[in-house]
Formats: sequence, C-alpha cells, structure tokens
Amino acid sequence: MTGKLQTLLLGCVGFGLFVGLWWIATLGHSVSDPPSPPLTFTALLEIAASGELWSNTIASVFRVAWGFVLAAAVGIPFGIALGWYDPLRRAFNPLVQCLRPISPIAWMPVTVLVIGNGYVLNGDDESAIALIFLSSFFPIVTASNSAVNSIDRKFLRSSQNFGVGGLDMLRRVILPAAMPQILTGLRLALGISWVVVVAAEMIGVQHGLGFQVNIARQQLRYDHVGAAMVVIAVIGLLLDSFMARLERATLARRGMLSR
Amino acid sequence: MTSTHDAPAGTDNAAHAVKIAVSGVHKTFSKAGEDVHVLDDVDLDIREGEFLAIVGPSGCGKSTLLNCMAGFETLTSGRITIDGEPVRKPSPKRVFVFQETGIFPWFSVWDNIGFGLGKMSFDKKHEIVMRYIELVGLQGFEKAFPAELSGGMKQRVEFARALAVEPDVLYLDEPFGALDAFTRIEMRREIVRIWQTTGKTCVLVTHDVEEAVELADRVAVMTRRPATIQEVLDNPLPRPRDPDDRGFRDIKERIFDILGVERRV
Ligand SMILES: Nc1ncnc2c1ncn2[C@@H]1O[C@H](COP(=O)(O)OP(=O)(O)OP(=O)(O)O)[C@@H](O)[C@H]1O
Ligand SMILES: [Mg+2]
Repeated sequence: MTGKLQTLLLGCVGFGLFVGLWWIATLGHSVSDPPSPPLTFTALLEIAASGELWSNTIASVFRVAWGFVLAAAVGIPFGIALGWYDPLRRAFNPLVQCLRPISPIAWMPVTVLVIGNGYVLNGDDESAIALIFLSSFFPIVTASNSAVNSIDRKFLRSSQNFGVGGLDMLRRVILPAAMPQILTGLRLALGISWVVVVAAEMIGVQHGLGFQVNIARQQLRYDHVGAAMVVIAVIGLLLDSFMARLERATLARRGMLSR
Repeated sequence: MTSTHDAPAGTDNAAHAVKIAVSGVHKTFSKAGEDVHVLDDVDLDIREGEFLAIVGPSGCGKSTLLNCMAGFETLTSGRITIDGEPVRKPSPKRVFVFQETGIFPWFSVWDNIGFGLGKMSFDKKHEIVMRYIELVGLQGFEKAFPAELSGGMKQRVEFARALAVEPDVLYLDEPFGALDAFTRIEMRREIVRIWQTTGKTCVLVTHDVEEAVELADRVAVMTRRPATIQEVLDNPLPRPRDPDDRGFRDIKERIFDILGVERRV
C-alpha cells in the first residue's frame, strides 16, 4: 500500500514540475499565445460543453479502431505465415522490411489520391483508415513473423513427437507460444496508430482531434490547441493501458505472467 | 509389435532382443558452407527394456545421436531401426524428454499431460491423466501452470506427459541438467522407479559419469568429435546403488580411463 502511494506521489513529481515550468513560461499569455495551464483548462471545459470535443474524439477513435483492427486481422495471419513457411518469408520479408520504415505521413498523398473518394464511408475517413492500416500493419506483421520464427525448437519438436501437427499444432503450440510477442507488437502498433491519426487529420478532413488542433490554430485559438493536445495525451494513455491490461490478462490466464 | 500397454513388463523378464539398432551412422551438418562432421560410423544396439546411458565429452554429438534415434534429424548415411523398422520421423512410440523442460508453459499440468492423447472422451482422458499424475506424485497440482512449479515438479510433469502416450522408448537428454543437486538425486531415484514399474527402454544421454553408472545397465562411451562409440560397458551392480561402493568406483574409474580424463583436481 505504501509502495503504491509512493509510486503515485513520485509519478506526480514529474507532472508537477512540468505544469509548474509551463505555467511560469506562459504567465500573462492570452488565447492567441501559447496557452497557460489555466487557459488550457478553461478551453477544455469550453470544447467539452460545445460538443466539439466529443464528436472529434469519436471520429479519431473510430478511424484508429477500424485501421488497427483491419491491420491486425490481416497482419497477424500474414506474419504467422511468414514466420512459418521459410520460402514465404524469403519471398516477402525483404519487401515488408523495405516498406516498414516509410513514415505513414509520407503515404498520405498516396492514400488520399487512391482511396480518398469515399466509396463506402466518408472520403476523409477512408484515407485516414488506410493510413492507420499501413502504419500498424508493418509492425504487426514484423512482430508476428519474429514471434513464430523464434519459438523454441523444443516446443515444436515436442509437438511433432506427440503426433500433433498441422492446424492442431498451430492452435495448441504455435499461437500460444507466439502470443506474448504478438501482443507486444499490437500494443506498439496501437501507439503508432494514435500518433498517426492526429497527423493524418491535419489535412483534408472535417472531423477528428487532429482537425480540431488545426482549425484552432487557424483561428488563433491556441488555448483550444492546448486543450486538444491534453485530450490526445489522455486518450493515448487510455489506449495503451487498455492494451497493457489485455496483454497481462491473456498471459495471466495462461499462467505465464511470472516468467 | 506388441507394446507394454496393459501389463508393464518387469525388468527381470526383459528379453535380450535388440530394440534399437544403430549401424554405420554418419552425420554431417552443413552450416554456411562449412561441414561439421559430428557422428563418424556409430554402431550401437540397444536392448528391449534396458536402461542404457551414453556418456561423452561436451559437444561430441550425444544429443545429435539421440535426435537421430528420435527421428528429429536425418542421417547423412547409415541406418537406425526400431523393432526392425527404419526411423523416419518422430513418433509417440518413442518420446523425448528435454534438458530444459519441454513442457508447454501455456498449458496447465493436466493439459500438458493430456497433450499427446489425441481425441478421446473427457472421462477417458481424465482417467489416464490422473493415473500419470499419481505415478509421478503430483496429486493436487493438476490445475497448476508450469510457472507455479519447481524445477523438479516440471520435470515430473514432463515424465508424466511422455509416459501418458505409452511409448516403448524414452529418450532422456540430460534431463536433470537444469536441476539443483538435491532435486537431481530425487529425480534420478524417480526415473529408476518409473523405469522399473513400466519396463520402458530408456536411453539416457549425460556427461555426468556418476549419473550414468548410477542409473544404467550399460554405459556407452563416446569419443570426441567426429564421434564414435568407443566401448559399451556392462554395469551389473544391484540397485539401489551407492556411489561410495567399491564396484561403483571401479566402473567409474574405467569410464574415465576410456575417456582419457584425469579427474583428480
Ligand atoms: N543443427 C546443427 N547445425 C550445425 N551444427 C550442429 C547442429 N547441431 C549440433 N551441431 C554441432 O554438432 C556438435 C555436437 O553437438 P551435440 O549437441 O550433439 O553435442 P552434445 O554431445 O550433446 O554436447 P553437450 O554435452 O554440450 O550437450 C557440436 O559441435 C555442434 O556445434
Ligand atoms: Mg547435448
């Protein structure tokens, strides 16, 4: 208990210091300057009351959810297949590793051009989702690939030894053995997605937290910019702790937490 | 081939039929264009129901030989047969027990032991699993996960998992290497007891000469790489065996002589 309290108090030290310095640096600023903490807080209440905050948050989370889930749905099986079949890995891994370092932002013109026309959803949703997909797909594929590739040989041999092969082996040995590393990859990818969605919403969209930051900047309401940044931080934190919780719960259910 | 399904054969009536025949086995690994010649013309007959130990210097190819006998590795040349059938791939008829425990950390003790049992009704499976849990003395731990068990207990789970599929042959590759000294003694006693009650053919690989003499009916001594079997010693000492015993020390001495090791420090 005292340990927890201590962690909490120490954690507040960093925040306290940051807010303090921020406050001093922005003393006497108005809404068109970099905002002080009180101005930011008032702005936060304003955009929450006007409903802008909620609709923009929902728009961003919606895009991340779609892009991320699609990337996981395609990326995990693909990565596992790469990790399992050597010819497949040799055929596709160089390509994956080549595309992976391209910043998702650099893809933006391409996604807007190719799928920005709104065939199914709103046009701006589709290209943002495609961007999230691209930015989380490569880390997920890479994590799943290396997870399967690095499974301890004795587990595979045990499985063969007991006559467990094929899909049965995939379900009972390969997936559970690779799961911890895949989950870590998912968590990483979700973090990247959240960073990317805000950037993606800066251009050519009408909703989202990135849009909110941009529009506030154009209106010289830097207090609203600050408020949106606070919201971005909090939601990023929530997403990450959600993934961390999922990771721990999955491992704990399999008794693998205390390794 | 009849197996030991219903009535485990005692050791006393073990026929001296050859169970595993290794003849003229060569094994060369090719890595990055370089050939590593590991096994060089290995001949070895392992008898039905016996406990055979293979000792040799570190890196000489003991594990490689065992992997070949289990069907995990293919031979460069030569022949290994079990009951007259060439070994081509792994089979539940001969189960491998790994050095660092090979049980699955994501399965409970119960699921681990039932791993190789295939499709059968829950009741049947439960009966078999519980029988082997009892055999290795892990009653009450069936729901535990490996992470919650001690090293010795994990090794017991591994033995139970291997025995549950009723193999004819157990391959033991330094199964006690990762255990502390006390647990190791306990587990050696345990494996002898299991061997005596089930009558399996056991092939143990170790670099611990004392362990080999303590456990085995016969000890095969391997040379350095490229390795061959230098000599197979009979070990007729009655069980339980005492390492301080005169006869025990003599056999140990002879093995060290063959290995060419000066063991006084
Ligand atoms: N898959 C492999 N590829 C290339 N070389 C290998 C492979 N497996 C084993 N070797 C080589 O074969 C030799 C024998 O290895 P092995 O594991 O059989 O020795 P060992 O007698 O079991 O040793 P230890 O007592 O240390 O367990 C080693 O030199 C090792 O480097
Ligand atoms: Mg070895």
